Amino acid sequence: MSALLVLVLALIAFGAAAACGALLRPRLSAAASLLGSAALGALGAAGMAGARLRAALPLGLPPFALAWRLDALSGFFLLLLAVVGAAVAVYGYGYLAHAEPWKARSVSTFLPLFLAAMALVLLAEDAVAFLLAWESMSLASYALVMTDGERDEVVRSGFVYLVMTHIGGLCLLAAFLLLAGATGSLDFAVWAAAAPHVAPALRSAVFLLLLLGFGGKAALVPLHVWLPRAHPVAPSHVSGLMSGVMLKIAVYGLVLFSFRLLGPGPFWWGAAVLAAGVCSAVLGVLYAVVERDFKRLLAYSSVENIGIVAIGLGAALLGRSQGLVAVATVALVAALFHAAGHALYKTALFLTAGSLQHAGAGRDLDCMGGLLRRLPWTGAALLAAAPAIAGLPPFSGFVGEWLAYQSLLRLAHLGTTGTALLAFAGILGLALAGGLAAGTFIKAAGVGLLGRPRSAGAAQASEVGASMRLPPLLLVGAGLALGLAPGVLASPLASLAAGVLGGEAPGLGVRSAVLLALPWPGVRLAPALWPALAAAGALAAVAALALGRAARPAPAVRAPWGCGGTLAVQSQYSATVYAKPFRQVFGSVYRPVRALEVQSAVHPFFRTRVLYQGEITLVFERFLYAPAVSGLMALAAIARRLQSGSLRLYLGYMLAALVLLLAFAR
Amino acid sequence: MAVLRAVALLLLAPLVQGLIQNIKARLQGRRGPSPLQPYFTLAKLWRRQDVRPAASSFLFVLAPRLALGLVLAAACAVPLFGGAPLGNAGDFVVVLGLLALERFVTGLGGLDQGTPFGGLGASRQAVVGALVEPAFFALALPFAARSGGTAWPGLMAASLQTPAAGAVRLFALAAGLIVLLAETGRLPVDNPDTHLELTMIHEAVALEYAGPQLALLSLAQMGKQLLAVAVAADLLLPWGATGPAGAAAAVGKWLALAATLAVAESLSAKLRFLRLPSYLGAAAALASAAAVLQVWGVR
Repeated sequence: MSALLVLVLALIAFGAAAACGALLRPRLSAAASLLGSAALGALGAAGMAGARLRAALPLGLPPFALAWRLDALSGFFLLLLAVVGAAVAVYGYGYLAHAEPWKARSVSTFLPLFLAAMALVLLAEDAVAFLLAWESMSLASYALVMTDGERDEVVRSGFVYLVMTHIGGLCLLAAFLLLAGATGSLDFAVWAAAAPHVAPALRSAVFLLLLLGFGGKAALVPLHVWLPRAHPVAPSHVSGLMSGVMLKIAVYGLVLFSFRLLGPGPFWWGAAVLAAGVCSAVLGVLYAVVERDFKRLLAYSSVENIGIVAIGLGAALLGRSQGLVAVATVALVAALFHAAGHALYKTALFLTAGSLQHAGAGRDLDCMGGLLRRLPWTGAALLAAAPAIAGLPPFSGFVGEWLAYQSLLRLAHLGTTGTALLAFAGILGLALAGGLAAGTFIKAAGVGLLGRPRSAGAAQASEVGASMRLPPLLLVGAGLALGLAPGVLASPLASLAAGVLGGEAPGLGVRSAVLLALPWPGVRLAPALWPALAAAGALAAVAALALGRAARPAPAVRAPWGCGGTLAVQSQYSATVYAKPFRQVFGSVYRPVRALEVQSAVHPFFRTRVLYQGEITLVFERFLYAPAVSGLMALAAIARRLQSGSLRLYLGYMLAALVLLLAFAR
Repeated sequence: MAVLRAVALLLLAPLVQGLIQNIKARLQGRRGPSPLQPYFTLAKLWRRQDVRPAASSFLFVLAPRLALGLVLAAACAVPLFGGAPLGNAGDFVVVLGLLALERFVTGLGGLDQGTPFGGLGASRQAVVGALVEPAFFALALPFAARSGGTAWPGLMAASLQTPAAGAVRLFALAAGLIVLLAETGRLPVDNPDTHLELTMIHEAVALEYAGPQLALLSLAQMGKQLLAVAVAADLLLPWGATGPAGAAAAVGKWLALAATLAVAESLSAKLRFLRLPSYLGAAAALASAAAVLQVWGVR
């Protein structure tokens, strides 16, 4: 019962925050959002620790009583939402302090509503409750994306986002209606019991619709096109919340349905999710590495990380379809662990992007540089978050990828030959995505923070306020702690996964917080060991140098080597040039298009102007969405012929429809 | 003990580098420098003055030290000289992760120099690294699939169970040669002896370093080279690894692999950058084919 009280307290807090935001009291609004997030965090922790809640709120007619429940899976995602929501609430207070009043009011009103809607999606136990909360989440996020709605770019991006989210919502609605028709109820508990006995063809159709719906929201390729448009134009902390948490809500939906509610499925379910994951991981990071807009780079990187989570989910589904429950458990833990890490790091990165924009350095990496000196705190957060999100040790992303590799290899070892081939594809895709992600974030952190300022905005940037400095650092610090002591999260996740899959907990990470031991013999990871050794080695190198320091002068500061001349600021490597080898090497994916125009006076030797334009082709927009949209417009043009404007013709249509219905309604 | 073995590997690394230079020189018809030359070079660099570019930050100074520390940590995660890795918790994925972090840190150090050459090195190193990573993982794939994980005891046991001259081993050896050439920065991927900045890949990030910092960075790169050779030897040539003459067998295998690298490098010309994905993709494909054969063979 107390869990219900905490939930109601959280919802009241968010409502109060929205009201304070509407009344232009930003400090109260931030405090109320923080309180609501803390309540959700307590709820989530209680859920993961074993508290169970099930409540039904009668709303309107008795068949539509809305059911809510709390369990370990929703508790985990509630905890993620709480941590990220708290950071975003604190950040938003400083971010909006100098914004126009109506924009500050709009964001402060809709942000708590967004948080509340996401919490309700996680707690819904009923199709109606789920869809109501899902739709509220979509609409609240649309309102947040459209904050700067006076710009055309924002309106177009918001429109694409709205259309894609409603296509997904329609797929979800269709799936829910199919299941409701087959099982005769809208309650998830009834579906969990009855859905495994529904006809396989219907279950597969439902799975496909759910994959389209949740995959579209989670931005799996090819349904990802809204993400790189919506995230750069939204306020930065909103983008962080969307990338960090909203995508994970879609992952939650996928896990809930494919593992708990639909029951064991055939081979192709796991194969489809794994294939979608590999494509998303590789294509997402390929588009990120050539991007010069920092926030769009982060958006494509989110596509990549969701792909990695999908690889883990696909491996878990494959494992379960072949009865390998231990492998499926570890794969699910890998997916959820990686999702948690990504939520922390991506939010931190978007917050630092917002700080950079707020400080005057803009969004374009080619105009940044030298910011580590001018913005030490924000720069430190970006510098720490960059290897974290690339999946490098000692952060938690590496542990998540390690778990994914181990589960895929075990799947290849124990599964059928087809499963082994899929697992190999998953492993190679994961390795390629990891390597490319490292390259991407060397660019983002290096070009953005290091060297000399490439523009006036970067040269005059100044550090942001305390409420904007601290949240990214705290989020990355939490991720580092999680990477050094992964057992703290991996242990509860293992029992969660075992509960979802229906086996007993395989004892993952039970040994200690700092040593991960998998349920099959001989495979262990001590993540705290290696950074400690590296630090020791580095210190030894420092000591060795310092020993000779007494007899030698300090490092001399000299101008860098410029082939004998002085180097201009523009001759530094920029983000576009950095990406050139990638564009060359992966040219068949990018299909780059170049236009070069040279203008000259009097004689071609005397050039006055050189115009260079280069862009990559966005494959899905050009070959999938553009034909679909033009086909739809052609159909609409044909259908417009039915709208002649004549009232008699319309009455004739109604008569014909009536006659047809009467003829066929027997 | 594993830490001592790792330090011994770092101390042996310049000798292996000197040996490779000597063999290459003799194949070019010269007498070449003594195999101990890298030690003298490091000592000379140690006595020189430290320099740093005007626009650099603490990352420039931190990168060589952290690179050396990471190579040391990675060396603790590999069975060396016939012994076990640190705490028996060493793993192939951990080695790859630490080497990737080393590439990340040196790439940032390159961009910190504020010159076009530093960025050039960082960018090209990132591309090569992104392509080498799946190929290197694929090298362990046949044995990891057979053992069901990436822990070293399982990998080496699976490698011992694979036939010594079968198709799996031969494909894996061919892929291993390509991956080693790429990971150690040798022709046909990168020319380690070039003085033309525009043709550099790994050397460009080290261009602004001088004196003791350059010594640390060079030692880290040589250590990485020997570590890659040691990993390949453990995976592909596991015989005699455990047992009384384990250390001598290991050193013998490393010297033999280093000589093979020197000969392979002398026989190739530098590839165009465009051709790199085909080259490294061929390595990944060979190793994956070996993995598929392994999986079919066991069934």
